[in-house]
Amino acid sequence: VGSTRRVGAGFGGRAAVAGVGYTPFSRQSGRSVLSLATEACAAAIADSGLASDDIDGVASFSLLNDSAPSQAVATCLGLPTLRYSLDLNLGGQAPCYLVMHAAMAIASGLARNVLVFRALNGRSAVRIGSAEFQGMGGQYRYPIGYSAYAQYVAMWARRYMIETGATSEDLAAVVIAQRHYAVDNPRAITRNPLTVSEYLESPLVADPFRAADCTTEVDGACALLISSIDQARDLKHPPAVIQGGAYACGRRSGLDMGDALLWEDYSRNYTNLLADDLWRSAAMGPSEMDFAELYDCFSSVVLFALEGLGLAGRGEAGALVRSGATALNGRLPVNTHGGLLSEGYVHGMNTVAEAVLQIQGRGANRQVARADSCVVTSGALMDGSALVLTAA
Amino acid sequence: VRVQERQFGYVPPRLDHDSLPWWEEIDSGRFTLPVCGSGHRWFPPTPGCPKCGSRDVRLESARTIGAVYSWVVVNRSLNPIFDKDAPYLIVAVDLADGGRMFGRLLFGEAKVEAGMAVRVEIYSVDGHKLVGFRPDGG
Repeated sequence: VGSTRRVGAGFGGRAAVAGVGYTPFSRQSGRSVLSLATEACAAAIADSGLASDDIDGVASFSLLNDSAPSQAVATCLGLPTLRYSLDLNLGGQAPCYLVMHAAMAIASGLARNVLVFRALNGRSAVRIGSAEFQGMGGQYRYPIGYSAYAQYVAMWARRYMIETGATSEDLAAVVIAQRHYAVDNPRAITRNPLTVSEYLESPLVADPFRAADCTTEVDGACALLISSIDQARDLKHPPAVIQGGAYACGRRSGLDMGDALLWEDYSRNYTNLLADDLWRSAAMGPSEMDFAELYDCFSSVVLFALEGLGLAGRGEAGALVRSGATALNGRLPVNTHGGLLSEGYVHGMNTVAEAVLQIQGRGANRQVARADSCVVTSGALMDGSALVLTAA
Repeated sequence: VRVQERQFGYVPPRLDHDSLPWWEEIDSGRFTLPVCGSGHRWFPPTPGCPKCGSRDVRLESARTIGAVYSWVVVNRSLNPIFDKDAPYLIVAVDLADGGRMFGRLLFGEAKVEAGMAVRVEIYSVDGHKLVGFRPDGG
């Protein structure tokens, strides 16, 4: 895979993730979100080997005012003049999208080194999973007690099960495979292994979901440092090249982030819509991926993405996971950090960061054998984004 | 599986100019759907037709029948207002005249399957009118 190989997206192969930074993930940080964001961003800068003075772009996303603006973080980091700054009002759709934006800014010459972060007190302050959203769709959900993300995604999971014949065992397989990875991930918030029978005996929260199918909301922050490919080659770690990317917000995506009333097919999500654009932008295909880091606010979303991206056939994702193919020694390791289900809900910025660590060979006990190419997704329902990252 | 047949908790809908006429029809016991100049029907009410973009939109009375598309049994509500309601069943219903709605399945048992025929039922919680569904003929 050559970094100069690019077709489609104009930024493909021209920028790379050069560093990652995290705060610890906890249930109560006892700190401001600004403090978390600043720590994670400073860690990403240090991880890359660059200095604060080299940074001229900051981008982030938030929902319901749950974060700190990019300019505040730039202020606390003592950054020089920014040439690029972006604050998106989005959720889990955003991480890959923001990395694409940073790559575009760098490829077009707007900026040289861009920080991308997500920071939140997602457990102790604003809990997105059960929050009321802005927009006009809520009036048809909240009055009847249809009011949480677990319920919305469960509605889709049920339809997927109706259409494909997928079962609770398929959901269990996703959860268990990811728990297995989490045992080896000290950052993960849920690290105890789980058996199929333990899973099936646990109570249903929003049928077909049990608690284990749902991500754990946490306090914490995660940041990435994006640089030009030429700059990244000279830095501390090998670059994770941004080979391609795509975003899709499907037709009739509704009145707000949780409004699926006008979305026709609950058994397919945005991954089906962006797959062709994604693979074209990277000039690669699903069979060329060594591993995948797939956004998983809920277990079923992994099955949707496997099928939507063409990594598994229609209705075959559950069998793929049950076969062990997504485990560390399998054909396609998936969610090697344990996913958002186990590591914690930093809205998928940590999903991108895990892909970077693996490509850089820093996966420690959970390092996959072949880590030259990876597909990453962000999002669960009507809209979302994805990246193809490769070794240089 | 037994589920609640009645709704106890209630969160008032945040109405807007586009939805107010529809809610007012519901308050009067009339079930309507938006329809555009090309005859498309959909839900929820929007100022433009999601199928063709027509802004010639009005409300028309609609048939009160539909089929279950999907459902979720809420065993543990994340909103304490609905604690007394759990377990309850939310169905996504494809209406016979077009459009999809979410509503409570106002039936004591979680006997539900894809394609099950249901009928719209306007019901009240503490005097507030809402739209739910009941198995057709059940």
